[in-house]
Amino acid sequence: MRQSKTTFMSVCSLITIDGTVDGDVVAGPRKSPSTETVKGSLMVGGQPSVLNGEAYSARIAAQVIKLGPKAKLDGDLLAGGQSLECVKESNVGGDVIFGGYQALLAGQIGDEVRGSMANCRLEGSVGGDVHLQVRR
Amino acid sequence: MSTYKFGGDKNAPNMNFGPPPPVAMPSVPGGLTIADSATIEGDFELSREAGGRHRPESHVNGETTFSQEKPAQSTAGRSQASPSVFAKALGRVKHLVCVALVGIAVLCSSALEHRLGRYDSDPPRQSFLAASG
Repeated sequence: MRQSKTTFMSVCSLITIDGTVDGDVVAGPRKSPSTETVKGSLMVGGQPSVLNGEAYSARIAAQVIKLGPKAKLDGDLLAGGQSLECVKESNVGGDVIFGGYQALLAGQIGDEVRGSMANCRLEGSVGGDVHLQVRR
Repeated sequence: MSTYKFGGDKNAPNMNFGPPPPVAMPSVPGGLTIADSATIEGDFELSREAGGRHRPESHVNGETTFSQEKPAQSTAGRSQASPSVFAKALGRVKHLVCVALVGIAVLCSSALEHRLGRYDSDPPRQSFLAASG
């Protein structure tokens, strides 16, 4: 798919967006979605979810969630899963809210971090407050 | 000496609850760890179970708040715990004091009615029925 100006919904095994989506993307791929630019919200439920593009915000439920080095979210990231990894070059402009087992937050987070997890490592910068529940 | 035999294939592979994730998960140390490179511009609030030891004040520009949660106790352990002798005696004393207070209140009210002359042998319901009938 190269370009779409409406909400894009899909339940498939693999989704690759090599272009720009003006609206939202709601998808449930079995494999990792590959996105270029989503001007709306990205709502994904899949087994692994690796974001390496731009979107306004993202709601992700997946076993492994990873924000790659080119990932850039202007808004919030709401995620639930076993593992969340925000690599060093990733950028989330709003809040990061996560519930799961472990989180590695090495990128830049513009606003607050809220979460409940067993393991958490902070390596990056957080622009707002941090509210964490760490339970083992 | 007894000999037990169990069925099944001992060479069977281990049971997996689903395939391994195709994306490798990072190795995160247990609990909360904060690297030297981390910076937190706002406040830091951590709620954790007893036993945590991390102090992230050096990375936080705002206030730091900790709250420890008590580890959950099993309901069986709580139900089996018997009260102490002092607690039993205190409970009995409380019961006696409450009964005595109720008795004193009843006696005082009846004595007051006698003194004011408002005591009537007829119950109020019978008086009401006689007046209405």
